[in-house]
Amino acid sequence: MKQSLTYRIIVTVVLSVISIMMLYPVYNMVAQAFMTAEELKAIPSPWFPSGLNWDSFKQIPESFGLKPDGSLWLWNFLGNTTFLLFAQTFGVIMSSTLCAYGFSKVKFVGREKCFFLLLCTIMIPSSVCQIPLFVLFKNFGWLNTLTPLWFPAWFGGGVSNIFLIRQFMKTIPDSLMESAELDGAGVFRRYWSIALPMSKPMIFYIFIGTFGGIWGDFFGPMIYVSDRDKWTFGLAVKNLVNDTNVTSVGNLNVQMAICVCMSLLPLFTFIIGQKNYIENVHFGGALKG
Amino acid sequence: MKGLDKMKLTRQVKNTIGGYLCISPVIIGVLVFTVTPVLLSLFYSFTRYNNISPPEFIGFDNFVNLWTDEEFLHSLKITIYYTIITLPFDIGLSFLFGLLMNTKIKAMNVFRILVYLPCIVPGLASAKIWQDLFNPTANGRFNRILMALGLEDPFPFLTHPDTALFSMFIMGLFGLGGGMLFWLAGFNGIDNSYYEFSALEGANPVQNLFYITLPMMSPLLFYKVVMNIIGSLQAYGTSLLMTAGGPQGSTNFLGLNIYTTGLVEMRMGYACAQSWILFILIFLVTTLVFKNQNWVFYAEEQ
Repeated sequence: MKQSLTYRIIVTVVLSVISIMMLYPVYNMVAQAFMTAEELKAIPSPWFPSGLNWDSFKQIPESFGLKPDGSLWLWNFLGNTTFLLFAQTFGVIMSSTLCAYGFSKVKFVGREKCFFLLLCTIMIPSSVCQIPLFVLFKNFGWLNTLTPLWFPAWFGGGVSNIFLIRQFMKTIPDSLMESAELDGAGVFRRYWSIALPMSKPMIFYIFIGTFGGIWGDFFGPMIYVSDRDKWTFGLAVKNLVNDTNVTSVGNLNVQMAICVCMSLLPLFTFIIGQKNYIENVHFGGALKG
Repeated sequence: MKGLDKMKLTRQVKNTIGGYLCISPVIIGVLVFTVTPVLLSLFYSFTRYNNISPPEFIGFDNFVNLWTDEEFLHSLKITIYYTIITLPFDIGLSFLFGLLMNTKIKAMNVFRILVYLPCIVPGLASAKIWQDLFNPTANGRFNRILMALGLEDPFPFLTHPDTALFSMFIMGLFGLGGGMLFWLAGFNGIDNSYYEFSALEGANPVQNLFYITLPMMSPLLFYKVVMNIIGSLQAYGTSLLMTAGGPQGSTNFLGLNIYTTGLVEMRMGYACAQSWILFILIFLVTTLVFKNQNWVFYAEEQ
């Protein structure tokens, strides 16, 4: 598509304005993290920090509290989150790819009907399952453990993930599968050595999404976990940073520093995946069929 | 021939067993963690249940009570209202962003990253950021800008029932980067030859948009509309973090109301009844959208 110079200049100007606006909240977070408590309490408080004041960052570990023996709670929270990041993400990837493979590359009776039924569950709001799941997990004896958060992932994987991987796997030529089959490769062998490696870009995409979701999640832990030693990082941040009393300043710079740190992991995965995300994302005919 | 048939049959049997094995973890998961809860929820909605004593069957009482429950009716109203208001902005603006971002400029990747950046910040952090930006005193960030532009009194943002929902809407606009990437991905999927042909015919960009881009994007548009409605009707994360539904219930979305009724006040039967109203609402709207999809263009049909 050829675009005229005037059009490109106008677009550049418009996009610059939009970008600055979109960036402002993020800038504000970083700027306030570097401000001193005095700067934040001043009226009017400054737009720019007077310098790179790292004190607020240094106060982060202790702001999450100390255990009776004097060690930091923060490591517990991060430990729980790390465990979930692995247990849950791998569960999602394994179950969703295997299921998507079954739905796209194995021909069996009733396949399309099963898939349609699975798609229908997308309409069920999570609110409907919330209370019965709470009761169910309570009866399983899973309350106040991390199990309700990671165990179901090995039996789920998310319908939208399955849908996306299925569409992606559809583009793998059937002839490849058939020749492997003739060579004696069974259903699972074909999954493990052909379908899975060939779906790497999609798996990566879902990996990043799931990872980020778990990292920022506070809602699941809030419902199922009560003891402090089971808290995840997200829940701890929520309890420390978010209160619905809008006017309290508190130690805003430390809170903002926590927000900055919390954004670093998603930023990092975004930078790694940037090429996939920004330049090459396309559905590859995903929604045509 | 007979041997071949037999081989084909065992192959089919093998594939069927293998296929069901592949999907079995998810099927089991759906049965245990989705279907069972849905049925239980339906059962609970006809009971009084507080998680301490066993559920007590009370017939349609919960559903009858709903229609005189001001709190519930209000939250139902604002949920629908908010979904209707945000849908065109969410989809239209992100589509517009996508179109702009599809221009061939050298710095385009920088713009794309900057616009996407707010989406990278976790919800917890952005709730905090926006609470501060929305500070209702004259010292608040936005208020200082607005007052410099001539506003006389500080804008109350999240602290007044009339402005809280609007403030959340503004905050939501900063999440458009995700939608933008979605459209960019879609544009990438359009075969370039369409545009080459239209250039030969002397079509202008507006014609390109209406005769190529939009029709080709209509299946994605359809997908996005459905997913947006489903998502938006049950969304409540931001209000849980930022206002806890207040002030005076003005941001008490249905999902939040269900959560507080069921898992905070422990009126579980009543909360389940509410969640079924939400379910029915989503089902009706989705069916309605699916029935009216004659504007969606599928390339294969041609």
